[in-house]
Amino acid sequence: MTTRLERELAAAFRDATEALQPRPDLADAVRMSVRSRRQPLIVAAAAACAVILLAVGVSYAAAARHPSIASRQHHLTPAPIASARRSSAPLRLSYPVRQLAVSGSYLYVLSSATGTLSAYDRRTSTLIRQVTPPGGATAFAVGPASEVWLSFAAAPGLIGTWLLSPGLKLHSSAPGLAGETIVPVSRTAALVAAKHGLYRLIMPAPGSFGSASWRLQPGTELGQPPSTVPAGAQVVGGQVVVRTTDGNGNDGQLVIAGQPNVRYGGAPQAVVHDFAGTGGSLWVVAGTAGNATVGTLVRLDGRLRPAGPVPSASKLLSQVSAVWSAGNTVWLALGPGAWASGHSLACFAVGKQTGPVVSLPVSGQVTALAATASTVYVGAATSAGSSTTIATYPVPARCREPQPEAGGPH
Amino acid sequence: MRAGDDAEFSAFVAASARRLLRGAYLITGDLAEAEDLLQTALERAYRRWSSIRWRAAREAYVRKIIVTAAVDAARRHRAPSTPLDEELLPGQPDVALERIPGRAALLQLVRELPAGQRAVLVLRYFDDLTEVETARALGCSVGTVKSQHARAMARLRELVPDEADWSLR
Repeated sequence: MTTRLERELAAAFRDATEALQPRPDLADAVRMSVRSRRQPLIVAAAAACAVILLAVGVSYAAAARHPSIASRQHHLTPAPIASARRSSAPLRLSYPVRQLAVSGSYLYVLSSATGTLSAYDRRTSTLIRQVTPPGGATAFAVGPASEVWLSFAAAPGLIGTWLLSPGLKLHSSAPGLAGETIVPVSRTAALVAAKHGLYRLIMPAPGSFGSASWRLQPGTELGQPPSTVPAGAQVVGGQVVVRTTDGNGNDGQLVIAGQPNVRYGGAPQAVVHDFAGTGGSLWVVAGTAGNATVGTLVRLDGRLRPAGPVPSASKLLSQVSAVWSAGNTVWLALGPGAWASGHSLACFAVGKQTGPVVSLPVSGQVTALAATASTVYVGAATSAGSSTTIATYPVPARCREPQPEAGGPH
Repeated sequence: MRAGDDAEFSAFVAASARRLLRGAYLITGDLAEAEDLLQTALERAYRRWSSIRWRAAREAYVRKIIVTAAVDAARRHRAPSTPLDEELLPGQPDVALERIPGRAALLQLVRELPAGQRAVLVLRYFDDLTEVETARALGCSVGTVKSQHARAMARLRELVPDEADWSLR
């Protein structure tokens, strides 16, 4: 007869490991490891044979000396595994890329086709590790200690968030809570925007036993449906600003968590396609309901009111499809009109003087971007849109002038 | 190894690796160690793949390597106490999630058991093995499995005073 303790043990074991997945390339890794350990034995055996051959007869060895032994040894020496997997920049990927992030020695790439998150070595472009959560990842974010937060939604009821170590080797799991947007606030805590407000999610460190917990943060309501499906969040001037949509990606608006009446945008005139923050400012791509591809760059203050200055008038600023920020630099993906021109990316610095706008020689549609102070990683779709090239560029000097922006409004 | 064996090996890994990883993690409590144990065990299995004929035997073979190595490693490093780091502790349980902290507490108790007893519980209640199969996996007698199991359950009941009032749900 099964006792209650036995049933609970079985359930606890099942729950604690529900989210665990072996690495996707495990069988290949096993083969590679076994073969790489065999190779030195083969080489050693070959070397021993060569020595024996040399000892058999001087004339035979002399005849065979340089060309054959040298070539045989060369043939038997395996190519270093690392260099075989290393790809030269730019990185060419056979899938569309949804999001990039850079932290420490890693470049993280989220596939929009499979929901697989990959970690590459920034210096060598070597693939370090890939993880694919159930149903694929919907969003990820890198926290202050380089830990990686990743949400997934396989099916109704089968959703969750993982907290992974920087190399994606270890993870802990929070089954039952996922978001389109995650804002890490410490090594083990993050805010997850959901329909009715922000959840504070606390998780065990990656690889640790323990349970996650989350609770709705009081005073973070986002307003009433239908326009409260969060599709992005940024901390700007100490406030969490959330982009909401109608659930189908339409009617984008901005709202400050906890102040649902402070809003910007909405159909039909100023639909928020995308936004990013620098210091106390928001940079918003605002378009119309009829044109979901491009919009005009608008600057908002901490109360979501239009504010200046914007960079000196540039036609580029009315053809923006996406915006990112890194420090005091704003990056702009330009719309289809710029794709063929070979200048589909632009940037400018924000500070006492904002701008000028500098374009970069990037072809195709920029779909993802991540930047450090000196380098920008740009994911551009190929013409068919099914694959991506990730190239690196130095940040133009005029886009990284160290001009601290005035303190953010509160 | 023949090409057919290679395909069989891939299929075996696809079908069994997750279950084996979960079991390894429950015994070791450390995901990195569990992944390393799994890969090492699979490497040993791959080397003598053609001699392990039956699929059930293959999984049992790999599981035995993992369990033996995990228990040995735990016995070698018997100093499991880790200083508590406030930041690494889970947050206060949400009322709506009451049963999850209850199970987390149960897992914590299991982690405090000796490795051999912990392995018996995992093999019995996660892998659903019989006492005989558990004994085979651990390389010990059925009597040893019974005594380890009895001690483990007694310890859990000692720490959880009244099973009848234990409301995990």
